[in-house]
Amino acid sequence: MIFMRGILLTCRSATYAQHMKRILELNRISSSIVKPDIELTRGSCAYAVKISQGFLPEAIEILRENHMPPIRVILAENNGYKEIFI
Amino acid sequence: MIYLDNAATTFVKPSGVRTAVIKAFDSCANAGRGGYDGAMTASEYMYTARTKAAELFGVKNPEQVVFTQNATHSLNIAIKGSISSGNVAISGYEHNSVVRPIVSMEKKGVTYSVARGRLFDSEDMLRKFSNAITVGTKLAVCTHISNVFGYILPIKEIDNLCFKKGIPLIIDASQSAGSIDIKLSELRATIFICAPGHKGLYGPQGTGLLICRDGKNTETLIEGGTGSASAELEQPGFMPDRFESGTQNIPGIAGLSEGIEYVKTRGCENIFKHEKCLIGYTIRELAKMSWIQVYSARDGKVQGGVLSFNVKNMSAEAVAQKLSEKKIAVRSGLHCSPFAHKTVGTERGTVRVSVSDFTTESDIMHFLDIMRRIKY
Repeated sequence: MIFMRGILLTCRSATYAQHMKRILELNRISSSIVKPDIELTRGSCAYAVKISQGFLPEAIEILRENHMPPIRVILAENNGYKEIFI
Repeated sequence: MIYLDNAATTFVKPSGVRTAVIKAFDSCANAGRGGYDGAMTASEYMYTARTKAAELFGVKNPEQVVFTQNATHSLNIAIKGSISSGNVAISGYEHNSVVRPIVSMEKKGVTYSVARGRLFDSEDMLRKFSNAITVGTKLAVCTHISNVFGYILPIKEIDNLCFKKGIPLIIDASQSAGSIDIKLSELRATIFICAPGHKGLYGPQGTGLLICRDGKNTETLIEGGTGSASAELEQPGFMPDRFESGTQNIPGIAGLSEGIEYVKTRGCENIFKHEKCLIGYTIRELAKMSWIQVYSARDGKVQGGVLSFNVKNMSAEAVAQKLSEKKIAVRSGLHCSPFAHKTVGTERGTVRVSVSDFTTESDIMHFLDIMRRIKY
C-alpha cells in the first residue's frame, strides 16, 4: 500500500535525514522525515525525506551544493513507486 | 554544600538542563529506530545537540560529532581505533583515561614516550614533546589542561609541531571544553577532540563527545545496531553511526544540548575569565598561608580553573576530610593522573580545588576562611 505520496529522498540514517531536512528548511522547502519501505532502501533500515514533487529540481540542487545528495530519489504514487534518476 | 570539585563533574547545572532531561524522558523513544513520533522526537533531540556541538568545536558537518558516555569512552575509541602498533607520544600530564588505553596495547607492541615538561613552562613542554616524537611515533595524545594542576598546555603549538612531523594528534579536552574555545577547523594535525559532556559543557553525567576530523577509517571499539544499513553484517563505514552502536542516552544528550547552549550563550571566554578570576584570588590568598604549598603558575595565562595545593605535615586526604566536615567538597589524592604527579614530584597526592561558572566569590571566601584554620 502506498501511503506516502510525494518524492522520497532516501538517506543513510536518521542523522543524515535530519541534516537533509535542516538544509531544505533553511532554503524554505518544507519536508518531513519518514521511514520508507525496506525495498526502497536496498534491504536496509534507513530514512527518507519527503518533499512535494514540484520542488524536486530545487531540492536536488540545494542538497548537491551542500554535499548531501540523496541515495535514491523515489516518486511515490497511488499505483506504486518509481525511481527517478537525476 | 560548597562544591569545588568541578574538574570531576560540574554539580550545579544551568536550569534548562534538568528541564530538557525530563522533557526528553517524557517524550522520547529510541532515536533512529522508527518513524513514529517518539522515535522522531528522539532523533531531533540528538540532531539538535549534534549541530550545537559541531558549531562549538568548529566542525562543518554534524555527522562528525559522536555521542559517547564520557571523555574516557571518547579517548578509548580515538586511541585504540587509531593505532595498533608503534609509538605514542604523550605529555607528562595525562590522565589514566589516556595512559591506560595505551598501556593495554603494550602486548600488541604499542609503546609510548612521555614529554615531561616542567609545570607551567610551555616552551619546555614543546621542546620535550618534540623529543618524545621519535622515528617510530605514529600518534600523539595530549591533554589541553592538566586535571591536577590546571596547567594549560600549548596545544596549538603542539598541534603545529605534530603537523610538521606528520603525526596525527588526539586532544583530551576534558578540562577545557566549555571554558577555552577550541576548534578542530583551526587545528591541522588533530584528528579527534575528546570531551566529557558533564563537566564544562554542563550536561548530565553519562554524556561525552568525540569530535572527528574524519573517522571513517578508524577501527571501532564496539559494534552493533545503529538503525542504519541493517542488512549489512559489517559496521557502517559512515559517521556517526560507525561509533554509535546501541541505544543512545537520549535524555542525557537532551540535557547536554542545553548545557552547550548555555556555554554558547554565555561565551567560553566569559566563563574562562570568571574561573580564572576565582582561581587567581584563591592562589593569592592561599599563598599568604605559610603552612600551605600552592602549585600555581607565575604566569596566570597558563593556569585554568583548577588548582592543587598541600598543607604541610598533613595528608591531602586529611585536609579534604576536614573540608568535607565543613560541607566543602574538594578532591584529594592522585586524581587518576599518576603521571602528572610523577612529573611534578607530588607522588603523595594533592588537594584539588576546581571551579565552574556557577562557583561564586562567596564560595571561595568561605573555603578560604576554613583553610585559614586548617593547620597541622
